[in-house]
Amino acid sequence: MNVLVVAMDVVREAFARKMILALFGAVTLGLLGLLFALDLEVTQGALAAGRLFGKDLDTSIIPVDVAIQHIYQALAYVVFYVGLFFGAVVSGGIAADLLAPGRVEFLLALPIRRTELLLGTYLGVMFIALCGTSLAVFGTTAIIYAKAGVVTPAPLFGAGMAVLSFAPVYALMLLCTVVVRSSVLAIAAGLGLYFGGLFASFPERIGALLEQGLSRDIIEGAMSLLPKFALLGQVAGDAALRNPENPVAAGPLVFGALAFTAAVLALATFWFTGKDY
Amino acid sequence: MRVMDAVAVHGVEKRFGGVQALRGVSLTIPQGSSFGLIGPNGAGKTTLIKILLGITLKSAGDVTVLGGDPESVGVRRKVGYLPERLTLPPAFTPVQFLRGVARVKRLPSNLREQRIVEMLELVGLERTAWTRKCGKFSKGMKQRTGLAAAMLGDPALLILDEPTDGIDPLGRAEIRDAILAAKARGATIFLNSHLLAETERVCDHVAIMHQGRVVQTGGMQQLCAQGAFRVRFAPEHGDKADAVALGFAEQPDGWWHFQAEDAASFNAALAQAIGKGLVAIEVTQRMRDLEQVLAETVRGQAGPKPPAATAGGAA
Repeated sequence: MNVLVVAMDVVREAFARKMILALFGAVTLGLLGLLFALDLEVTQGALAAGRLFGKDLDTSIIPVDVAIQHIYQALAYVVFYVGLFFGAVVSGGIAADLLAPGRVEFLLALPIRRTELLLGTYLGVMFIALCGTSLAVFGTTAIIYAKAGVVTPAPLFGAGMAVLSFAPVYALMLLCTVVVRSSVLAIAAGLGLYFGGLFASFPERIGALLEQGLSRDIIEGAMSLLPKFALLGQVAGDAALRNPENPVAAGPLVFGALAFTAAVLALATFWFTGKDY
Repeated sequence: MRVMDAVAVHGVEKRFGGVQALRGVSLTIPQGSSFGLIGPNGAGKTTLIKILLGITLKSAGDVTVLGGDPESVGVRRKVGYLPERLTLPPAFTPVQFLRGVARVKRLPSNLREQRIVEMLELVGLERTAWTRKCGKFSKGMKQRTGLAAAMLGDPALLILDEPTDGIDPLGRAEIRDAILAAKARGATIFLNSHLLAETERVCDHVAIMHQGRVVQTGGMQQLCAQGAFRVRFAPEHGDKADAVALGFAEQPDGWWHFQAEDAASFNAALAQAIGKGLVAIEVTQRMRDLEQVLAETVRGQAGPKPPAATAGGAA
């Protein structure tokens, strides 16, 4: 129960912050831009013409539900990669503010357990990530439905993959904040995992660039532990397609990301509960 | 019947790496009392307070707060705390901040707004608390907000670390009145303040910490008493020589001083004087202020001494 109270307070405070408001404002502006700039001509279930900012899109006459797949795929990639990146940047200060000197002492003296405070903070930020992703996905879906009269659940799956992929990123950021109480280092850790997770999606290619030896074994070992963000992103994008080429099995990737998240959160909890403030 | 202790600390030690911050601290604070913790910077006062709240974990010893473990949620629900340097969420108004505190403290939802308004009135923030963001607040206004948060829910134990720091003299008087109001409703007050005049006005028991130890503790009266009593005799009665013979020393201002270990010894001498025909018209005890007590106590602590026992008279 206390976890939810903390989480909702984190959400309330985050929505009072300029940076989070700016992010949601930017998403909303993007949606408004799309609403006015995208013009789709649908005739008898087929996409006859498309214009973006008044410029003709290179489209042949194809069934509208097929054409829309590619828009949703692009949306999935944007939400996944841009969302993860800006999610890490924007959320970096939330936990650091809660753990700031003079604030954390007050919070720890309240009738709340340290684990509840930590998990509540984590869930609050994840909820904000879910809200931002939902705004982008539902907004775009509504616009496309209004323009083309087609709606599919595929964007929801893509959004789910984006939020799921943010889970290990923010878990590591939270661990970093608990250890060093620095928003800058937390953001650096989050972005480090983001890019590390992209590289870790292609261990054979990265390994081939390295010479045989201990350092290569260590790097390959580390990569095997990281979430595979490029592959998760591909899963998100493929969800929009009816018949994706070279589909990736989502199960092991999702399990790996969740296992990484759980391990990092457990470490953060262990550290936080034994730390003096 | 013995009053239950609000705080009981026995042999508490705290090490930060190689630094020994607390060296076997022991003290007890009875429920309903107002207790002042004083000492020079680095004495370990804030560390002790944080251990009482479970914010810092002790290295050794036993701590009981309101009869339970300080890390217990049930105990913390009955404790209000104002840290020395409170950082408030800058984007929140005090009302938004206090609503969050009220939720965590599980105040009944139908009473929350009313209690928040009462607390804001108590600390003098009722006008600005609804619209002005905490990020725009002065240090004094932040302290007032923190005090309102600490007092929300009528805690049985109120732990205040420098509550009047950064507050102007008039504001200090308001804060003091708020603390005394909490005391009047039966709360135990634990005050750590460098403003010793505040401690004198609010507290009835004091402990002095120095170099991680409690080196002096007792009732305010007991600590500040100098072992000297003053009496004014009616000039037209008795013989001054009798007073001198009993150990009274006449002062140029018309008072007579008498050195005694305790009030009983003074009373015995005074009774003898009265028996010889002298008439006492005014009697007082000579008192030091807390600053003198602190200075003399700290100066007297040349080397390590064993920890002091329970709060004198309080335990």
